[in-house]
Amino acid sequence: MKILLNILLLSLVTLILQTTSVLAEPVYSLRGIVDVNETSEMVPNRRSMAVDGGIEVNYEDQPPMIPHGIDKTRITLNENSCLSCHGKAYSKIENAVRPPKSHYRTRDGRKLNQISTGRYFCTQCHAPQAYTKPLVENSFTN
Amino acid sequence: MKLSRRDFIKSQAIAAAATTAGLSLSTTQLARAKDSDDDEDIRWDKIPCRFCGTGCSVLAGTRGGRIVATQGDPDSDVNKGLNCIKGYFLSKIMYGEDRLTTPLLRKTDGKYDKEGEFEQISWDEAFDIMAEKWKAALKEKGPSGVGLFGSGQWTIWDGYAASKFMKAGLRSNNLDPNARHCMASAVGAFMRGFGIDEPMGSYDDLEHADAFVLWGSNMAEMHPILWSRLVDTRLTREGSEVHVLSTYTHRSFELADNGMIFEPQTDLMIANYIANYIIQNKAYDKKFLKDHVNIKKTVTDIGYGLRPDHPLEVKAKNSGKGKLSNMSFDDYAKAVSKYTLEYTSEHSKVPADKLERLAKLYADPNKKIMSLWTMGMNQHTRGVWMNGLVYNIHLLMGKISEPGNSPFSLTGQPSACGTAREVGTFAHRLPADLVVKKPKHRAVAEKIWKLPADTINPKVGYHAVLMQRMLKDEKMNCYWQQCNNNMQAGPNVNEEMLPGWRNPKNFITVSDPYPTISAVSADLILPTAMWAEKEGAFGNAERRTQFWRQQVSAPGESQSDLWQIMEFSKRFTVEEAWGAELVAKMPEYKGKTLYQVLFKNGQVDKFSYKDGTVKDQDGNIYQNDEAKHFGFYAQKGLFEEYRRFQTEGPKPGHDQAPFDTYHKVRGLRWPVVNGKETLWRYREGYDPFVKKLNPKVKKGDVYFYGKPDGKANLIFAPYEPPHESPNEEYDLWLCTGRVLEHWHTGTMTNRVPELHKAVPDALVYMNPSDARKRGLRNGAKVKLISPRGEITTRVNVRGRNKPPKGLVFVPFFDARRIINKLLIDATDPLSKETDYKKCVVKIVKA
Repeated sequence: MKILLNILLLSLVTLILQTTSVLAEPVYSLRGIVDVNETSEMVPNRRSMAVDGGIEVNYEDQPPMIPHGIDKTRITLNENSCLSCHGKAYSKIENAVRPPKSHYRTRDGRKLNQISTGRYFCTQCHAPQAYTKPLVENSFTN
Repeated sequence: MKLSRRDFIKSQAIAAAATTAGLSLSTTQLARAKDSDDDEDIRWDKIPCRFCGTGCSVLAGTRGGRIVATQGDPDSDVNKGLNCIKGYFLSKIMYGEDRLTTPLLRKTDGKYDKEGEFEQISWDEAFDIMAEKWKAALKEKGPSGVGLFGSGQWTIWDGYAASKFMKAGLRSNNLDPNARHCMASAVGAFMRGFGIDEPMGSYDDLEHADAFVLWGSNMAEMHPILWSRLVDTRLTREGSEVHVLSTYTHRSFELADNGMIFEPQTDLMIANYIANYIIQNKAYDKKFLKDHVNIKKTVTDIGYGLRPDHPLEVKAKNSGKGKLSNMSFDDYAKAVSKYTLEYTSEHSKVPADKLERLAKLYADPNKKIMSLWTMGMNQHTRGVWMNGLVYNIHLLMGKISEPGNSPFSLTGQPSACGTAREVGTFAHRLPADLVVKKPKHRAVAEKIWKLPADTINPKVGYHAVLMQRMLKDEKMNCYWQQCNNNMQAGPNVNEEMLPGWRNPKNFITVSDPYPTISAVSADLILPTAMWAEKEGAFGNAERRTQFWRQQVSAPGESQSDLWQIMEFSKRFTVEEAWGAELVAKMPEYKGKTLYQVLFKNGQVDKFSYKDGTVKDQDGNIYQNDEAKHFGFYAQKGLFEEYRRFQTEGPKPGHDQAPFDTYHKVRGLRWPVVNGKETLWRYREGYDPFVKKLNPKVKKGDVYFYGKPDGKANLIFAPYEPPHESPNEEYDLWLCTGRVLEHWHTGTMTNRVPELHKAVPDALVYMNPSDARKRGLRNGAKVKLISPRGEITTRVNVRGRNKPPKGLVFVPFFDARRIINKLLIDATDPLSKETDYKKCVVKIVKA
């Protein structure tokens, strides 16, 4: 929050500066006003977001973020508990997102009946989101 | 980009949207997906990922001068359309709202003041003050008074221009990349063992091997796309197995058939035990050893790369020495015989049956094995030794240089290989594996660079850690850091880094797109173009060179590292940089600037540039801001000059293809001969240099041409204890590293909201019983303290990393918790690479 405020301030200052042609401006790292040799404030306790209907994607090929916690999820050599809801055959929860067709192909593009073993570890691309603000706003637009 | 590709992408997108329709996408999402689907004005072009050393190719979608989407490149052999979570968010890395857009200098009352506040200045003023400070340092201290700290994230030409500017221009070898912190041990072992840097195999081994052994690598998080290829093989090939060695349990253990947690440093014992097992069971390949291997031993008791007056260095008999001497097979067998199963199991704390299973796997002549490692083995005070011990196992069995039999050193940065190693931006190196200390090598460089004889300094420069010590000690007064965030990534920040940066005698310049903690600790900040904002080239871990075109313009007055180096070189005359004596050897250079001698010299500037020069196969035209500014195609000129080192130098086997080729292909693995890449080196039938250099070698046979007699070195090294171990007060090991969702110090990924929200903070991962012992629950607030510094954070006892009792893990991406304050600046004495994986800490309630 502090950083966001700083950025707001910074852009305000920049605006003023452009008109008055004074060039001083504070420069903050992601530590905000805390110097490198000081100790930052304590990490807040975080919780994973729970969002009905999923989290909006930015563009078509972006893997959707996970709209729930995954603390109890296990992916090992012997089990992949993501697929017990999201797999084709074992949908325990009705509105669980089904992986798109891209996930049912080998590396060489051959069609498969099951999710590609190359995509077995879902968390390589999909992650839950904590309730927190961005450290810095991002001006990306699609 | 061909139209068919665009159609393919569109159909993919429609399919994806259709599959998920009604399940997860909101109506607005669907509408937008449809919109952009109809949108014909998005231009798609290939570009390698900005993050790790895997070298995935992505397709960047540009519209209106901005990147609006990225996706996996289906035509890339590396990733076949797949990316990891970071790769999928590349589209956002340039758009953090705190991008730097003008040079900034610390000033008071309109004048440079080390204690002043940052003020916007022009590029002219920036280079004025920088040149003033650099010239003063050169005058007072000579070439060792200045230093440039670069990066394995530099493009090939950034690094090449930097090397030329420092080594030829300022005659200073104080040039080192941050790759020193991650790859130097791998390099050291390649040079000692094989005489040529970089792996003999390629990623294709991931589909050819029967078994995989991870030595100090958490591929599941750090190289996710290579991991997905490995997982694919493990889950589809009969009899395939995965062995994982680490000092703590991590995500790669989820796939492990044989997961092994060892006591820090005892990997040295484990590797020697495997060699012992192979010898005891007479499983080794006698003929291979006789024909292709020399057995050597390395001097021992070599210290820990600390300052020379540190008690551990004073005590070490052979501090920093790496001399090799011959050893008979019998003596070698005797040397490893100490490392029995019982002995190794007792000290490493790995159950004997697990160790034996691993040894049996290596000893089985019918199993093809890929050994993979990264920082666990490189960031190790015996990193060069440890890399070598794994090669020893492969050499004993002859399991090397063929599909599936592959000791494979993975890299952490996108061009640690392509730039830091191949271009040779290390303090001891020149391009194409040449070194500054050899007169013949210097002569080659002087000829190609059109320099008077004896321009290049034969004295090895300051390496990464030494640069910081020399700043602190006021032996080096000017320091320029490009393309990395060493204040967060370097070791022992409080004691050995910050004091040198803030020392009033020193002038510190940092080039970066964002206000990193390095930038705010500097005196001068230069706003820097990144990734798609410039034309670039990276080289990945499998020797694959990949190019990209400039997709968009950089914000404000940002300029690329290449532009900055070339522009700064205009500030020095040869007289100032070289002295009159050297200039007299080449009077035609009299009165010229370094820019004129190094860059606008009839060689680097021989390829002309005008708008329209850079085009793709569809005829789309791309900008090239540097070429436009300088009036010639600088990147092409630099690359073509660099290629001459590969063919005119005394070290064969580094050939790359011509510049223009790389803009058309998804990368090629060097050596490239007649347009053909090389997947496995040193074996006749795969590597064209074998026959070329020794016509007698028969098809399928091996010739290690990096060494004069064509034989690789098997190098015995024993176990030696670590630099420090937990004691009564500091009772825990600290291991540091990365997480999947962030890359390095998080300069880019912390600014992508989705990645930040995925892993917002660096927590301390610890064993539940260690936590209980200290009265700590999951989520408890703690202070981590080492003899050198402290941070505060919260405890995680149920997370993705599960350390054994006595060890904790903290990632280093979080600028608000600079874990490297706690580290000791101990390095491998041979490679000078820092040990980021073990130091002592204590944890108390905060």
